[in-house]
Amino acid sequence: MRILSELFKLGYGVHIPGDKKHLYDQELQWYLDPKYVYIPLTNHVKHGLRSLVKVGDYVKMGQKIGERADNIYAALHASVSGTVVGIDKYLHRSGNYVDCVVIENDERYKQVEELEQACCLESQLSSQEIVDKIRESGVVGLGGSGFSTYVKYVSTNEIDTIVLNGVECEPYIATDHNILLNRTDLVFEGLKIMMHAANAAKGVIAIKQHKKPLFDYLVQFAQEYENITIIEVPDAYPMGWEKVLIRQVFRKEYDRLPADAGIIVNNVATAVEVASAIRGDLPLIYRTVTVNGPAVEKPQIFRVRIGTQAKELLALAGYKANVQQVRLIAGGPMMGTIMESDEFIISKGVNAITCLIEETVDGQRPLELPEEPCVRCASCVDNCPAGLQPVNIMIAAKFGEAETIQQLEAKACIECGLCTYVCPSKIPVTQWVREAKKVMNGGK
Amino acid sequence: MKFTKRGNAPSMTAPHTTKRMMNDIIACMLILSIIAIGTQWYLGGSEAGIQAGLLIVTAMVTALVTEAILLLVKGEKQPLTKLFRTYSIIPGLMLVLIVPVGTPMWVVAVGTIVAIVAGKFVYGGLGKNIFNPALVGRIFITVAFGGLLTTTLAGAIDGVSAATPLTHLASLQNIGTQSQIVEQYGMVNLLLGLYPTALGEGASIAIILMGIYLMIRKTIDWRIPVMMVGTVFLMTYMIGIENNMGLWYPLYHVMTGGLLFGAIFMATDLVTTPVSRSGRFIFAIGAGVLTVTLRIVGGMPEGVAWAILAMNAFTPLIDHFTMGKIRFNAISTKMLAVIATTATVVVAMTLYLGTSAKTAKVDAQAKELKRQEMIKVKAEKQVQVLNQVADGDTITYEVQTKGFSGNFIVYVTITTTTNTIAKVEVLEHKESAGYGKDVIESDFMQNFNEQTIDDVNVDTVSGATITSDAIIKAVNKAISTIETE
Ligand code: SF4
Ligand code: SF4
Repeated sequence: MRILSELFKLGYGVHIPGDKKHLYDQELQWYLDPKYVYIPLTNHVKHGLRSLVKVGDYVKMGQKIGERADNIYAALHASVSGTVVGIDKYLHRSGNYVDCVVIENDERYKQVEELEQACCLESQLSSQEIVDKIRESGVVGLGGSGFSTYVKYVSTNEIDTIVLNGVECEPYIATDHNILLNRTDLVFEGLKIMMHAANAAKGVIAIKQHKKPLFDYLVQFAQEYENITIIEVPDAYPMGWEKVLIRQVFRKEYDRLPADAGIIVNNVATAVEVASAIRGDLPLIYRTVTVNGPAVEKPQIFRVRIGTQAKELLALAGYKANVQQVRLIAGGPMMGTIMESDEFIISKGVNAITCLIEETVDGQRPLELPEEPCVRCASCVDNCPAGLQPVNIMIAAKFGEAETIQQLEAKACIECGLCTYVCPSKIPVTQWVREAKKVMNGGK
Repeated sequence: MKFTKRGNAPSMTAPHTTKRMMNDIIACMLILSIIAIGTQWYLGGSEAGIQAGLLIVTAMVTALVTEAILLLVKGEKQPLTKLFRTYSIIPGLMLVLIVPVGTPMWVVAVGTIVAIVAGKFVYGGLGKNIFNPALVGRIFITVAFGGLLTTTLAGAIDGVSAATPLTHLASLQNIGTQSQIVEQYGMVNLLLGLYPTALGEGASIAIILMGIYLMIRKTIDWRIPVMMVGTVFLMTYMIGIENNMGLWYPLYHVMTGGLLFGAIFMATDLVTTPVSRSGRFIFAIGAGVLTVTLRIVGGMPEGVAWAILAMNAFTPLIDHFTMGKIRFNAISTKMLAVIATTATVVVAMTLYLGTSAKTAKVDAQAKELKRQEMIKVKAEKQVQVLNQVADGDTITYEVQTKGFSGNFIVYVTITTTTNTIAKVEVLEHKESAGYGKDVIESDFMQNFNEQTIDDVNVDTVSGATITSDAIIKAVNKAISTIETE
């Protein structure tokens, strides 16, 4: 049986070299005084959230300024105090220009009163009260999903384990590493609160292999907590995807949500924000961002206010002298969207800014490799973490065969980008799979 | 700073390229070519070595020229860049490595053209073909000019093709003793590829090392060669056991007949194998079963080539069958069915082949015995007493016997009172000078004189065995006639 499973071992990802070791012991840079902040009226899934303020209003730090109140709740908060000077379109990490509430920072950081009274220990709160608080404070998945965190905790499934995802499988990003190292207490507190909220017996923090110092440090830290274990997972992409992570750690599969398997997965950064929210600190108005990539002169990790413009951080990090053109990415190089300008907004879901070299001053274009015909090598099939056959989906998409695409279950694709990454012929397979989904939805 | 305006995630791709994979294969083919030249030189002298080199160059040049012409015909804008991106040299090199050294150059050229045009171009070029191009070329020349594919050079002294290990095995009905089979070539020679076979197929050790290298580089999927060779090994091992042959038997099957070359370089061809892992499982095991079947009941030494081509033909079907999403949580019923079916096929075929090989061997042995019997009977029939003349106490028998150049008459005179031979004479014959004639005209026949008929003891004369034996037989015939009277 072992031999069989070795022969058919699939879906555990691929090792992608990611240049980020130099960031592991880098100090966190605080960048908290932007002149303006731009709060996008979106929760990434849905744009055009309702604004609760008008131009000319004075807002306090932590004040709720926008919300989505249909089936899913999302709240947006001012990350500085100051005057609303406009509601205009700015570049969002989705690649679209979306409405943003622009606040001129008065640098007084006046907080909303209710936030000033320190709260309580979570043990005094019921599960429901914790979930409500998480919901009110606008915490979303900070690993990049941007999905409202509270939703995971209203599920009716019996939850057994909370997994904190600190795997950070995308190249170049070291945000979670930094958080685990510098905000360890909040990570553990957050995990404890989450376990309490979900009535989960066990907590797990998953990090990548080959990070001995961090692992030892966390293991030692975990001794003070009951039922929390640290687990190492292989350095492979997309190990950070819930499905692969659960497959790796628990040898379990689920269909729709991890909750089906009795598991909730949250990012470590999310845990920190949950801890801050419950401990009566603040709603989600800060986040940690890695600025890295081959084009960056001084790669750094920043703690910023939500709504800061990326170019301010990029100005601090600087570009290397030999770079002529940059491929600027909101997020990591595998799943992040290419930004056409550095004026995009660091919204809740931007965990990194990656700068790849598109063209050097002497005209080299390292990212451009000539596309060759598909040789049916099946690398894409062998590596798809969702168990799909990207090459067949691509062919079906080219011929517009909606039915075949349906059979191939293209909708299970998480757009991890691995099929394009591994394709030796440099075919944008992932893009074809996206096209296929469109074909399946009737060309929309 | 300028920013890239457009593009889709992911923004990074692996360093692994199709070009690198193809170059890996080309490198292996070139190394094997050099080994092939060396081997031929060692086996057949400088003439054979040079011939091997010429064949290899012919294949490479033909491949490139053919592809260039096709590109020009298609109206390609940058034919030269494109020429090296179609990797047509691979089918050319593969083809020449699976033909024997005696193949005429023009046959190799024709095979290469067929490989590229009929094996690749008509399907729309790289990535679209169904069959392995080199095998298409190989099978074409086997069918069209089979007799010309000899393992020895044209004009070599004996002029007949030396038996490859598998034709030798087939001549023994696939069953025999280690000394009959392996010692014909020697174990070490078999390992090193120093025996008559196709140019590049023999160097087992080199091929295995290259296979490992390609597997590590992920240029080929290790599962295909391992499963295909494994299947052949397992099946022949069982067949061997059934027929009292040892471990040498499966090893002989694995090492000869181009199995390793086929499994490592041809069955792993990216384009013509299924894309799913379960599909490749079926492909590899199917190719293994077919190889053994073709070798044993088909009596086809090129079993490997046909087996891979046949599985190529099944590839679209296998791909269709294994299409869809993998369920990681459970082995699907489909998968179970596949595993069960393959296992059954392997076991059933092994049993069937083992038994049929045994029957074939027994049949062949019985036939051989009968043949020898017939020869004996026939030979005896040709020795007959034509006349006998009694004269006092002697009888002279006129016995017709068969010599080297037809029948002749021997007169055998026996003294009945003493039961001894008085004399043996030959009056007329057509036996050739230097051989039979000399015997007849020598003192040979005096050896019989005075011998008692119960115990005649005369040896045949070496150099004229047939004639002297014919005379001895005639004498014996006369004796047996007198004894029955
Ligand atoms: S992008 Fe989609 S199809 Fe491609 S490997 Fe990832 S999950 Fe599979
Ligand atoms: S990885 Fe690329 S070349 Fe290989 S089968 Fe998939 S699409 Fe084709």
